[in-house]
Order: sequence, then structure tokens, then C-alpha cells
Amino acid sequence: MERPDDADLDLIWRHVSGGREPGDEEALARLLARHPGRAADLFALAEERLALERILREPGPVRVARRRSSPPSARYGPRVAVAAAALLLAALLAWYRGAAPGRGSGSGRPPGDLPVAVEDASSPAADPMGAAAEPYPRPVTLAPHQVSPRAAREEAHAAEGLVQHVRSEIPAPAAAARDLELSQPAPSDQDAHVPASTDSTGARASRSPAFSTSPARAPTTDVVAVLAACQGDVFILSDGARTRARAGDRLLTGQGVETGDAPARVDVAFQDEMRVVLGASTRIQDRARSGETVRTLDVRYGMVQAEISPRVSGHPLLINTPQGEARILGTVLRLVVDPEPDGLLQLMVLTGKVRLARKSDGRWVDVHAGQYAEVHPGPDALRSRRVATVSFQDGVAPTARYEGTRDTTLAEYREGARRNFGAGSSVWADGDTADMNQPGLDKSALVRWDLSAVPRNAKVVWAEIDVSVVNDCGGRPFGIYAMRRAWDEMQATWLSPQAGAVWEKPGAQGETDRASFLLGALAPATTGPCGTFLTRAGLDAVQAWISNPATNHGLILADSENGDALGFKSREAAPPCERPRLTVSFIAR
Amino acid sequence: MADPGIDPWGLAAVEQNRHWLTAFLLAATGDRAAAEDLVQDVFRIAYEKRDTFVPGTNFGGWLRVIAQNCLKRHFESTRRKPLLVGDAMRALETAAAQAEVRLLDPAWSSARLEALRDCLGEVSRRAREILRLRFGDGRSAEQVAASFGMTVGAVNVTVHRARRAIAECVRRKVKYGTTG
Repeated sequence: MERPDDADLDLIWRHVSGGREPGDEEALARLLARHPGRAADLFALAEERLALERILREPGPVRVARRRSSPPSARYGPRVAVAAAALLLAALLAWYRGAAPGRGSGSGRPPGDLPVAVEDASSPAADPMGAAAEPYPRPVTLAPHQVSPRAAREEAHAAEGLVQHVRSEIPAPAAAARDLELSQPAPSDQDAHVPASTDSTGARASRSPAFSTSPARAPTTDVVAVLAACQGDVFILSDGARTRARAGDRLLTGQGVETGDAPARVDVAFQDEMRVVLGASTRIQDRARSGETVRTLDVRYGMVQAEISPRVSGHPLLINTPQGEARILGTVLRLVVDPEPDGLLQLMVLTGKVRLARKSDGRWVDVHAGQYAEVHPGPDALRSRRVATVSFQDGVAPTARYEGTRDTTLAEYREGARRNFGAGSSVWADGDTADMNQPGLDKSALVRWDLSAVPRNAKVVWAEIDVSVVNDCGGRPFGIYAMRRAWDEMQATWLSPQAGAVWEKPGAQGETDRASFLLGALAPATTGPCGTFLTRAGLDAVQAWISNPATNHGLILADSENGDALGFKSREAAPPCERPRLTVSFIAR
Repeated sequence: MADPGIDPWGLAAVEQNRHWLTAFLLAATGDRAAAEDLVQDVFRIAYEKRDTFVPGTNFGGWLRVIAQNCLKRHFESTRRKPLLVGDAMRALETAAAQAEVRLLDPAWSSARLEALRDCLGEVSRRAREILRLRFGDGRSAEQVAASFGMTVGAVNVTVHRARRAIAECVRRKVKYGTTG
């Protein structure tokens, strides 16, 4: 049988893997007409995709390939291998007896303690998330023999009542949010007891014992947080398993939270100390450590906004990332974290002060309110810089004279497809309902802000969108996409971006009309103020709008399958403070 | 053909036939979700018409006839032109029938899955993660691109390259038909 070439196989693969490109269907039809036997390849690749799905959904780590060189026993002979194994074993035994106090005489855990697996929170092996081996999220599903984490949590709650004192419960979500109101930052003299010097970059930097390890404490099963609000795919991580989470679920000591792709987002209210909002594709892990004086939160990757009340005890909260560690006594901060240790960590402090230390060399810098700092392997990497934040809202900001917002609704319904809604006091996004007898109800909201007040050489580090919702979509998200094509507020319709032009696809759904990746999502469950921070792709888009204003065609909110309409006040609405607002934080480059 | 020792209406038979049937429908439609829906339809119709099946005859062939009828209705309702007709459809049927027989051999199935597991470990971590999100979690290329800050094209290229590498690796390890 004639073997297909790679181009044919790629074409077939695109067909079965859902990655078809324009013209593929016709090309495949031609190929099959010419070589009907290629249908066997079509079947084989479809089968291959299904087998891949099956493997990729299996629990447990993927076996990572070892080096292909021959094993030591083959290269050096059996005797050398045996000697090396003996040496390794001896070294391990020495370390086990000497370097780990308390281990030699048993488990080192008081007999009454709960049998929790974590023994040393500072060692990678004890890390329940296995960060050292796999920084990306793992496909963790429950094997049939595993106890479900939800059941385990219920058992843990029952055990709490029987064998140990019950700490005060987390308040209900609404109360938690109220109780976690932003508090004043920590006293300004906190850094007086830490030696500091000025480095070559002019930053205040010093060596710090920030990463000294201390004996770990086996975590208890206390409730440490409640998920106050969830949007999209949110999971609770526990002992290698992950379960889908809902608003109101509790987080126990040592558990983690992971969000899926945009529009995923979760608001986590921690007991008495902080409120953390996780953006899409983000993972955090609560970590018990050093008795009860220090709480450590691992942020593995993603985007996090945290409001941390001043620590009553005076003991800091540690936020640990692959690149560095932030010591916090009370602040509001934002983090953007790469998963790799040599990746980029971005920190912005809104109130209070954070001591940010780099893991690779222990150097640290204090980042004060209104400052931004990065950690990465390059030079000039650990320096706090002033961050500027500017909002854009008609009639309000940057000044009351600002009128740079443009917004309108594209409506699909028959009489509306040629109608412009640019003067409306609200803008709308809507999709078809499940009732297939009533298709064609899509609406999309277009919004653009003039960002010329931001210097072109600015580096965008954070961006948020706020609107005042007049019709909520029941918490079902509408995606935010960057527009690729100019449109006129007073001329744009479902069919046309401006007079004399047409969209590539009606409703600005074509590839040249708008980008296909999400910048974020809005999913209000109630009317009134609603905001979201943009994803990294969103930051890139805003950066492009600022660096090259000609590319600023604004954004579109749309989801053709979400039948719960979203409506929010437009730039024409009153009062001005309820008009759409884009807030951009940036540093000078 | 069904294993004669298996009740054709039992869960075991459903599971045994689901894999090749899904691949058959996926190959014909190029739509994973539609293929899943059609598999459900095939089993539902097969069960409803179980009285018309003659025991001892080719159960898999009977399912393929039902599947082809379901496909016909699917293309009519979606107003899409069927991709596979005539000789191409017959070639697809033959491939499905061969797979049905192969899958009756648990040793072959497990050897192939084992090879696939090993080979998956040979691609880069990033490619593996993209594959996991794309096919393990069933996310679209757009969603994967958004989470990695990549373009959709870059995601597709990564998936292509990873697939080729995996296919080449699996071919090294086991006899793997005509794939890549």
C-alpha cells in the first residue's frame, strides 16, 4: 500500500483533531477522491486521538523519558553499579539519621496526630503538588479505589469535632467578604530591624535568611478558607486529586485551588487574614509550616490579587512562588507568576509593604505601596519601581473632560441587523437560547477606550475592566476578545463595522474582525458594579493598544451560546461613575 | 464481530465496541462532540431494534450499518456534505472492522497503550501539557492558546509535531498499522 506523505497525514490529523483550517475540507475530499484508501489513515488517526485522550485522562504522572544513554551497569560493569548503589544508600541513610532530627526514632509525629502525609514542607518531596517534578497542572482524576476528596473533607470535619478543638468557622461568603475589608497597611518602620544596603542598581537590597528552613509541622485539617465566588472551571486540590469546586466549598489546611482557562476565576476568603482572587490558569496551595506562626501560600503560576489584613500576631504571611518569596504583614498586592523557576514573577503592591526575595540568590527588596518589582534571572532584576495607575472612564477619569470611550451593541435580530445602537444608554451581549425555534438573537457589545494618555513606552503590568450591570447573566460568562478591525460607534451594525464596509462574518465573528483568544470574561450574577482583571493575553492586547494606538480597536464581549443576556451601562449613561471603565497600571521602560 | 462470549446488549459489549465506533464516527464527521452523540444514538437504536439482530451474525457489521444511517441523518440535519462516500466509505468500514478484531485482543490493546504512555513521556513538557489540555481536558485550540499566551497556529503546530513524534515512537515500539 502506498504510504501517505506527511502533508496528507497532517491534513487528516487536522480533520480528526478539530484543528481544521480554511480549505481543509475541500482538500481532504479531493484527497479521498484520488486515494479512497486514505480513509484507513483517517480511521487510524481518529483512533490515535481517542487513545491519546484516554492516556491523557489517566491519573498519575506521565512517565518522562530518561536519558537514552546506556545505564551505568552496562557502561561500567555490574561491580561499579553495585558500588555506586551502596554509596548512594549509605549517603541516604546518613542523611536520614543525621540531617533530619527526629526521623531516626520513628515517624517523629506525636501519636495523636492525624496521619497526614506531609512531613517537611520545605522539601520538594513533601510538596503535595509535586512542583519540582511538574510545574504545569497535572491531569488528576479520581481512580475508582480512591476516597473522594469531598468525602475525605467530610470525614475530616467529623474528626475535627471528635479529636481536636474546632477553630472558629469561616463566615459565610458574604460575611467573609465584609469581614475581609481592606485594612490599613502595616506600620512603616517594619523594615528597621532588617539590615539593608544599596546595590549597583540603586535598589535597597540585602542578603536575607529568607529561605532558612525550619522543622515542619504536620498540617491539621482546619478549615482555612471558603470559596466565596466561583466562575468557570475551579478545582480544589487535595493529596494529588482534584475535585470540581463550587462557591461555598471550604478549603482545608494543605489543600490547593486551581482554575482552568479563561473565563475561570475564584474568590477565596481565608480565615482572618486575606482574600485572594485567582484569575484564569492559576494555582495556589495553602501550606502549613513552622508551627502556627507563619502561614505559607504557594502560588505556582497564574494571576493573583490578594488583600491581606495586617497580621494580628505580627508574624508574616509568606507567598511562595517558583522564583521568589514575598513576606507580608498586611497589604493589597497583585502577582503574575510564571510556572518555571527561571520565569518571570511580577509583583505590584497597592497598599502596605512586601519584602520580595529572589530564590536563586536570596537577595531581597522591599516593595512599598504603589511600587512594582520583577524577579527574573537577568541583571537589574530585583528593583522596585514606581507603578502608575490610570483609569479611563468618560466624564470621570483621567479627568472629568475625558470622552474617549466608544461603545455600541451589534444585534443580530432581523430588523436590528442593519440598525446602529451607538447612542443607547446600555450595551448588550447575548447568545441564542436553547430553543432552536428562536435562533438569531445574538448580541455583542463593542467597547473601546482612547489610551493615548499613557506613554507609548509604558510597560503594562495590570489591567481591569469595570462596568455597571443593568441585566446580569446569572454568572454565565461572556468572553472578552480584542477587536482587529476599526468600527464606528455611530455606524456599526451586525452586518457592518462602518458605512461602506462589511464584517468578514456578520457580528464581527470573522478572524479578521476579532481575535479568537480570550482577554478575560465578565460573568455578573447580580446587577450593579462588576469588574474583572484581564488575562496575560489581555495585558498583551492593552500593551499593543498603547504602543501602537492604530491597533486599538477596543474589545468585544460575546458568546453566541450564552442565552442569559448581559447588559451594562454605556458611555451615555448617567451618572458618569457607572460608565465602562478601563484601569491600566504601568511602569516606565 | 462480537466476542461470542459477551452478551451483545451488556455493558461489556458496549465498552468493547465503543472505541472503534467512536473512531469510525469521528473519522467520518471530524467532530468529536458529534461523534460522541452519534455513538449514543447508535447504541440506543441498536437496543431498540435488538429483536431484528440475528444472534451469531456479525454484531459489529450490524452496528456499522446503524452508524451509517445515523451519519446520513447527521449530515442531512447539519446540511453538510458527507466527506466519505463510495470507495472511501468502504475503506473506512474495512478499517473499522479490522480495528474491531484487533481490539478483541487485550494484549494488543494494552501493548499499544503502554507504548503510547512511554512515548508521551518523550515529548517536551510543554507539548505534553498542551496535548493534555487539548485532548485530555477537551479544550479548544483557542482556549489552550489563551492559557499559554500563544497563537492558535502555534498551538496547532505544537500538537502536530508532538503527534508526529509520538506516532514515530509508537511505530518503533509496536506494529501500529498505517498511522504516521
